[in-house]
Amino acid sequence: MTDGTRRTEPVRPVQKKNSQRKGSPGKEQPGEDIIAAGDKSAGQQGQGGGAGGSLKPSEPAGEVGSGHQRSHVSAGRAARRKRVRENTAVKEKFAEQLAANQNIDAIIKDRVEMFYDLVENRKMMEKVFRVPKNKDTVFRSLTIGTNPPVKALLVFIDGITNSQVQNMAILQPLMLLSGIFDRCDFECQMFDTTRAGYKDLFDRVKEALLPNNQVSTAHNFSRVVEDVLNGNTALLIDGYNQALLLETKGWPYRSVSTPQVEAVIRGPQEAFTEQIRVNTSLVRKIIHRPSLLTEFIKVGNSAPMQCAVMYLDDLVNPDLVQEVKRRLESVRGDFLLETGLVEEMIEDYPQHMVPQVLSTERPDRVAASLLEGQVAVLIDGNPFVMVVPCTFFTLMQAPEDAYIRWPIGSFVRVIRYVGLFLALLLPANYVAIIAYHQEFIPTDLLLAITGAREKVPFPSIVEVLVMEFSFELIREAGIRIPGTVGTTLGIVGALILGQAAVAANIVSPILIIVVAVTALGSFAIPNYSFSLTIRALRFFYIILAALAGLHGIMVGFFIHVGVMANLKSFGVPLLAPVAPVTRKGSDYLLRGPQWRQETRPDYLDPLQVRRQSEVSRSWRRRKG
Amino acid sequence: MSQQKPVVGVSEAVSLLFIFISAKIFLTQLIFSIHLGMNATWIIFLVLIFIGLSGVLLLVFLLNRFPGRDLVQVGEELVGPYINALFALFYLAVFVVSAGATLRGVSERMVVGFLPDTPISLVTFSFIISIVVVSYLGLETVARTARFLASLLVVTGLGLIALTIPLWNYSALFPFWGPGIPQLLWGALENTGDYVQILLLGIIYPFLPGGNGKKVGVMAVSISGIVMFLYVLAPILIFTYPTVSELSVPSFEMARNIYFGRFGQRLEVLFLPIWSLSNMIYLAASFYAGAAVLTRLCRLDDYRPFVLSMAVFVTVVAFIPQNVTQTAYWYFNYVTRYSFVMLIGVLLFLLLVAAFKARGGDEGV
Repeated sequence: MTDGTRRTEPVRPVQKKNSQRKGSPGKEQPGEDIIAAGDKSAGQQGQGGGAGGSLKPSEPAGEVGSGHQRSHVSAGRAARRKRVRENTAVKEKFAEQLAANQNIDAIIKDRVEMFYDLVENRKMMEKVFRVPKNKDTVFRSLTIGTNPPVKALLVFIDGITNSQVQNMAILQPLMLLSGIFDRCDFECQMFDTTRAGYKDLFDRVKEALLPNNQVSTAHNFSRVVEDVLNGNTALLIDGYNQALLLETKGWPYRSVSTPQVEAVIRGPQEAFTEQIRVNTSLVRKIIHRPSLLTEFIKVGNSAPMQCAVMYLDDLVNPDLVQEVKRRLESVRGDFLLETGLVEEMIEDYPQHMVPQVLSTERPDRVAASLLEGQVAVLIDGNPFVMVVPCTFFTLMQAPEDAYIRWPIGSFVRVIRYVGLFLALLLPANYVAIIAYHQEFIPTDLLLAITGAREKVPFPSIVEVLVMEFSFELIREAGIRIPGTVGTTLGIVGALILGQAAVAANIVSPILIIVVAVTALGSFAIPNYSFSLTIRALRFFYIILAALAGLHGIMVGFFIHVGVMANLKSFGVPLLAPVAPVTRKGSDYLLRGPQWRQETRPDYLDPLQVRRQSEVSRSWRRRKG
Repeated sequence: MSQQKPVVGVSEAVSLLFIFISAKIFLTQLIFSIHLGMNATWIIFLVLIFIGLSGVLLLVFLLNRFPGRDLVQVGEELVGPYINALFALFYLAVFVVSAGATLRGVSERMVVGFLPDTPISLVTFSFIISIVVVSYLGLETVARTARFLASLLVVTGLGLIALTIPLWNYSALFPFWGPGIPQLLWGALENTGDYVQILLLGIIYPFLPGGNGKKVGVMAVSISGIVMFLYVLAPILIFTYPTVSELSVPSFEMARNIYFGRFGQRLEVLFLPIWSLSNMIYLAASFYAGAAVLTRLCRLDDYRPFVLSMAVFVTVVAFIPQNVTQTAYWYFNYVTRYSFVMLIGVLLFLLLVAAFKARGGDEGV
């Protein structure tokens, strides 16, 4: 980091190029220089595009098939395809704008250094922010009230900054209070410059005149633009080739509210919000440890999103952190707003239906995971946090399991696994038994079912598919339409449609029970992504059951388990700790008592394996 | 073998090997053993545990002398590629013929027991698809699938035994020695091939955690021995000899005979995983093992192209016999009777060569 120095000789990193291009060293126009370069390249591109667009065969094609019309035709087709793929027509039409955009991109990418002249800096910033077309960016000129007064400029984006902070912590001190020391006598000035040790005005402004909680220095436009876009304010002072970046973020955001997806009866009632800093603070509020680290990584190209990687430095396996950071840093996606999008970019097997990342909106769950040795990935603007690695058993756990009494927690988990089985296999089993294995049903029940199905004209597979698709339709419609109407639609759809379908002899009454129980089973799965996966997979099982009865289901189940056994989440097998078998705690399938939770999961390879001492209820020890 | 060396834990290896050895007990092959041992066939299976253990110890003794290598590689080092090719073809034949018999047996069982109107080709095709998918994913996947499903299989298998306890007729055990001790011992010798599946240990040995091969082999043989013993004893107690020898699949008939009131009968559908999943695991492991042997024979790095070849070989072998009885008969005659003896012969030969080479090496030094 270099300190700002008053201009004696202008240092212009791009002046050489400029002079070569314009031949007017007296007036610095580095931006134009880059524009020129952009123009040139754009021009070349345009020519290239034109050549591609014309049906001239390329040189090798001419050699091979100068006498063959076919090669000419294929070359023409290839050129046309290339033209369409690259959208050359649009590029040619808006060549100037493209050149200007490339020029601005180059300013950011090349990290062009700032100038000493405030006017030049302002011009450059205006160019980057497309002012005056862009009405969001504000350029506020001011004079710092020192002796002598100095011209300065504030750059910020209206709406995402806190104007009160700007007024009280930037403008007021700079314009009204900055001259206090200058109005003192000579000794006072001596105190200023020598005892306090300010190198120059820039240093003095930074150290003494800005009562702002976070101030940093930037030397290039790229950094300034990035900070301004993040809600900070840039202060540019005439005569200095750097800017002060002041913390003034202040956009509107939703306050912390109760969880919408992972509601619990007993336990904390806080959920994450769309503000990444609020989310990190919610986790930090639970874990008061200096080893809780937060690292920031930008993900995405077109609109980079701020990602926070949180972990406990003294617990987590460093290889895991390294791998998470490596994957996030190497993502070259376009726009990754939501955890679901980032999830696809960083998970091991994105082509599979099973989620390999745990998404949660609960800070307490994230905190518990971090304390086990997992890593949390937070994305700005998103109330869901990813926790990695995750296993099948993690996906089937809910935070409340740990908050209620442990035998009840275990019981609830058993109910949930039964729900999983029903959601995945009940309709398929219904089809298999009705179509292939009637002998399994006791005679009285068989007669009842057959009597109910007597008037139904469809085979069981058709009625099951009709009802399952109808249910999925109701569910999807219920989510998409506004709240109150959605609830009504759910009830109306489920009751009326089911009742009407039975009355119209389209489906049998027992199938309504099957579909309803299946739906309840799918709602019992605590992870939304996993629940959706199960909903989708049950259609495969229904088709397999229709093809080969229970044997078809077994075949599907075997493939399903095989594929799941092959999946890994950040190197951890999805079926751990069962397959492969690793050291098991008492909290994977059932919920063991809290005093038995002595070790962290083995498959995470944490730095500290033991979670609590062997005798955690030490008050039970007899003295002496 | 593949791009990435698989790692198989002790628990997964034990599950895989135990299912691989004992899956045949749920098919028709068992009947021929009952003909030999009559009502005391269960004694044969107790004796067989010790024979299986001795085979495992011999195999591990050989493999421990060549750490990091499987049986095919060890053979190649000891006797050269040409003689070893014969041995490897023997291993391959064991895997292919056993898998073919199992595929035919389990497909026929599905058709007869559960899907009487479904063509056997569809059932076989569905088995092949699932097995190819899982075995293509590699040894780790096969072993983990076996481990994951082992709990389900053990619970279902023991549940089936437990639910038939009210039907047990203890007088069926007598005369206690059945046809007599010499005949029982001879019967045990004729059934040694029930443990030829320890050959899988020789193929997966390099992927086991170091020094655990013996543990894996001993545990797998012991568990599968107990399972096979129970599934021979229970039908004898339920159906008594000679009725039991006339059943095509005794375990299936056991499930059919469960009766707990009007609602607790015809429960064979509940026990479908026993026949279906155990044999799918068996076939997936066979496909992998056969492909691995072929990979070594052809000196390639990746087993995966051979999984499809194995599918073709096994399907062809499965449909050579005219019916399931002939399949079981051929299996008993060629695999159960002789394969284990041949395997032991190969192992002893390799050990002799190893000992000879070691001595020669020492003299040379």
